[in-house]
Amino acid sequence: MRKDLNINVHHLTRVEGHGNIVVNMTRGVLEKAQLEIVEPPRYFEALLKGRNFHEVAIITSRICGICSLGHQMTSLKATEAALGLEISEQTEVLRKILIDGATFQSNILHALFLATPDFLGVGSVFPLVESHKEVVLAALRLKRLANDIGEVISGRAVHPIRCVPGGFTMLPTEKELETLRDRLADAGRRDMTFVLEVVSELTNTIPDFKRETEYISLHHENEYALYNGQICSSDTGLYPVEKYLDVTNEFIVPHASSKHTRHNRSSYLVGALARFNNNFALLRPEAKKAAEKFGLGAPCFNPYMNTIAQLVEVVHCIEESIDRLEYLIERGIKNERPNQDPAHYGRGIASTEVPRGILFHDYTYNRQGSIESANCIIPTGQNLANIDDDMKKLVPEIIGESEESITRKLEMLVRAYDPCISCSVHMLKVNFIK
Amino acid sequence: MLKIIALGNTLRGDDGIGPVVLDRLGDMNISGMTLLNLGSDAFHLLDHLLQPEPILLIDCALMGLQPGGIVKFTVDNRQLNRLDQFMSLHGFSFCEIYHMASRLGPVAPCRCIGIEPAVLEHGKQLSSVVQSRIPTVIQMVIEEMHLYEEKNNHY
Repeated sequence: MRKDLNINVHHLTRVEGHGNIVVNMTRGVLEKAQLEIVEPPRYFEALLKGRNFHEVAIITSRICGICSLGHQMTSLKATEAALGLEISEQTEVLRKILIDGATFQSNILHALFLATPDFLGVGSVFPLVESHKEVVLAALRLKRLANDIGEVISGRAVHPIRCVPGGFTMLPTEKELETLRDRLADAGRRDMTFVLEVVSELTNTIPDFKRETEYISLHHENEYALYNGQICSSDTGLYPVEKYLDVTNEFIVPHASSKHTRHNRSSYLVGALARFNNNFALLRPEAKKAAEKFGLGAPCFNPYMNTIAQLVEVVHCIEESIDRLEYLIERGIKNERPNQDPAHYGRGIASTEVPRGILFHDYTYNRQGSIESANCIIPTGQNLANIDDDMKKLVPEIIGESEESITRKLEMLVRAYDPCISCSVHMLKVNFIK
Repeated sequence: MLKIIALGNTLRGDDGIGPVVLDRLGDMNISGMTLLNLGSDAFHLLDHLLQPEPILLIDCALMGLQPGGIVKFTVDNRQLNRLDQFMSLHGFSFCEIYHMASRLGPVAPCRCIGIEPAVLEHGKQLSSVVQSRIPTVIQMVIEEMHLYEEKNNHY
């Protein structure tokens, strides 16, 4: 068996962050197995200082082009908490539909365009156009449908413009909501059923790797928590969102410009698999059935199955969106104006689940309604220590395999977390030093 | 309705010509066209290429012309080999996406206005030579729209 191994996947580009996979084993001793993050800090918290509460959510949506809506929702909630801005039930339902759509869109993008090529052993989505044309077309239709949810309700699929503190500047018509509902119930369900059918036959290449860790997500007693809830640790239970600093415990490591986090163990996992493990009972029956089709049960300790948990969530989000749209159509859209009269000024902390995991925004406003200080903790940072810990367990288990196979499984592992680096993992150069 | 689609990064010198032209067109409030800024990744074009509405693409392109040079052409498979040589400023190249769309199904009628850049450095604004060409590009877009309105099968 091999005693020495040196893998340097340098570097992962074009994903809102650059990263390298570095593994080094000498004389059978694993010296290093880590994901290096080499992207410079972006200083969004500093950009927010002095900004008026009307501007903050517009700025923070730019943190991510994929999760722009999730950042905006979390930002709005934090501002509303700080300023005592109550929102209407209609606003909350519309926001939940937006979160469903954003989760659905991002999960489809990752699972079908970025991760599925791994199941087939090809380098990108392009070969799938030849071999699985109908799946690619179904995925594109689903992605378009999810984008249209954003466009109809928030005015834009990326970087929404109608969502403001206290509500919406413009509301969708009931006719537009009916069209969305019908598309989700018809083409959405049909395409997703087809996608699940095909992908379930491709997933036998998912590595059989298990490492139990701490799973952290939002949890709500009445619904699969994406918009509201308390922080839930699979190890230690529930915490109010305001206690997020006690859960995240950020720290600095030499190999990453992004801070790592830890709670009850050396690392924890956030994202679709954490949500699935912590909130399985609250998934829609159709989503549970989809999970069963893939042999995915809670708790699942295989991080590679995060991609499958994402597909399960798509089914859930489609069903939830249909019901929420139906509810709004039946009761009618009320012509509401956003509530933008602050009841007080101070600190507001909020959390939502964005596709890659639990997200926190924490703002303190002065009496002029401007930001004094801000803190944002994003999911990808929270997963980095867990990825390192996974690699440390995985590498000794597969050390007998070829270097090509080891590299492929390491790339698949990082990609399975759907970090903002996954879209470039297919373009890696790998150097082996023997 | 004709879709006017801009590709490009406004933080990268003349690569931002498409979005800048799109903004100007938006200010002019012209009816009969849909304006779409797809940023710097041509992958987002795929969805639009697979829809029936015709597309007019505005993009910065390295074509071997003098800076500020403008070329207007119809995009089709016969053009792709030539296009492949000079349209690769973005993550996924336009040619890759066009090829992919061609394999997935019927592709929307597509014409392109390409503008030769002078400056492509990050942190730079449009060069003066490319900036001076904005009125010409806008005029070409309006002419294209009129042609489209006059005979829909132009595209």
